[in-house]
Amino acid sequence: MILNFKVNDTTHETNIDPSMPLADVLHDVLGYKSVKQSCSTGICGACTIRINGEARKSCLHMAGQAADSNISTVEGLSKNGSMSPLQEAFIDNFSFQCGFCTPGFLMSAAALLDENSAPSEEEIRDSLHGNICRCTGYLSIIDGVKDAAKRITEGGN
Amino acid sequence: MLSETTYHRPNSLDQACNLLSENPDAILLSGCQSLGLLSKEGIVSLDTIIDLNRISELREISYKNGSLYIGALATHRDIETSQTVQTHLPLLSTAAKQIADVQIRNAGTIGGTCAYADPTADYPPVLMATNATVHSRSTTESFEYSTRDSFFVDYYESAIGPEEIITSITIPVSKDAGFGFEKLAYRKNDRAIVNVATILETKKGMCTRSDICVAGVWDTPLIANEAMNSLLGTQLTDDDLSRASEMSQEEILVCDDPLISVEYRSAMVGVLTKKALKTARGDLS
Ligand SMILES: Cc1cc2nc3c(=O)[nH]c(=O)nc-3n(C[C@H](O)[C@H](O)[C@H](O)COP(=O)(O)OP(=O)(O)OC[C@H]3O[C@@H](n4cnc5c(N)ncnc54)[C@H](O)[C@@H]3O)c2cc1C
Ligand code: FES
Ligand code: FES
Repeated sequence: MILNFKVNDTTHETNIDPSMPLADVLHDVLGYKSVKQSCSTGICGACTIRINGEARKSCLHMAGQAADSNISTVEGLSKNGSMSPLQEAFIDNFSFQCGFCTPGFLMSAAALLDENSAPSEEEIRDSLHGNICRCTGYLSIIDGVKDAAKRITEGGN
Repeated sequence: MLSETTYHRPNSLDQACNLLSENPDAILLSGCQSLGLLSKEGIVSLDTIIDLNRISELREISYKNGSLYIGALATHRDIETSQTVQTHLPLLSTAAKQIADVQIRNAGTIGGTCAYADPTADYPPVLMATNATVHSRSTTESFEYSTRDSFFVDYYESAIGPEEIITSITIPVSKDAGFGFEKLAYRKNDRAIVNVATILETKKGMCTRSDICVAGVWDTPLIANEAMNSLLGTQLTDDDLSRASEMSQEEILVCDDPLISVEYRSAMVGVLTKKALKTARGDLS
């Protein structure tokens, strides 16, 4: 079936099986390599992307379900070759070690910060509840999101 | 190679009903948060899919004449954050907030949850305690099911027939009621080991309404009839609530589970009933 995917403002026309998991479409077919899969059953959050701004688990969406929507991935976070304040805050706060979970955390955090630029720690924890990290112990990730919120508010960005 | 899935994206409920009647083996798709797992496990085959997500008429949430109307496609996140639900039935938004995580709540729907009839799901005890009605349609007929009496039939089995699409849930609400919801899970927001919804109402200090529904421990959610009756006419003292919780623990059936003993889960039925009753009592204005 011919399906169009709008990813980070670029439209791709594909001819694929509409029941293919969106995570496979993004990673394997369209080459958005930031989209990781670990559990493929909705638990780990590594595959988190945004659909029309909302954080979603791309392993639990069918291609047909997401076609024609606005999809965003980590590849779309940087602007004009420079990283977003959120990405910089993750680096400065050691918010990752192996990095496999990081794209998912970034997309969950980006969805939160777009909606709420001054989240409480509880709101941060709630928005990251669906993302699992086996390296950091989470505290540095929460620090990264807090720092990003500060940078965004102060930077007026 | 297996043949490709035929994928329909109807824009209206009428179209969807016609498609389902022409393709009786088609699978309906809402949030895909359970269907995704079923297809990965090979439990359902995806030859034909009818994706309901474009039927915007199915996403309405509103309040009319003492009744809350929730369209089948309302997501858990819609229900959690809806001002209308928070005002008229905070019990339902509380339950929604305890489902999984933000990503899953953004996609999963109340209609999909009802159809799936997962015995550990969080809405069913609320819907049964509130005496909600599930509405469905086929091309030619409309159906109504009382959640209290006839909707949750068995383990992962609801009463809707193969040609029906769930369209909405309506819930009678009372502004005088106090609500309680308790969920026990391994980790916050994981699937329920036990969950309990309670509703209490009083007149002049005497209990005039009590509803208790327990889920997660049997093939369907169960109503604790004896415990409920024991509270009517009482002043809802600590002793009354303790006695009702013990009765709930007695009467609620608990099936085997390979991971957690029947004794423990049964004890938790009592503990959670009591906590939820206390919350409901505290919630009475
Ligand atoms: C990791 C994880 C954790 C979860 N934790 C919880 C939890 O803690 N509590 C909880 O309650 N739930 C939990 N869920 C389940 C989640 O709430 C699902 O969203 C829900 O069970 C199914 O809703 P859906 O809209 O995604 O339905 P889908 O997956 O799209 O469909 C489910 C089934 O219902 C049928 N169906 C869908 N819509 C309709 C309709 N309108 N009419 C008739 N049939 C229909 C489909 O054909 C399918 O058989 C969890 C899911 C996952 C993946
Ligand atoms: S790969 Fe999607 S949640 Fe784990
Ligand atoms: S950084 Fe390794 S899993 Fe999170």
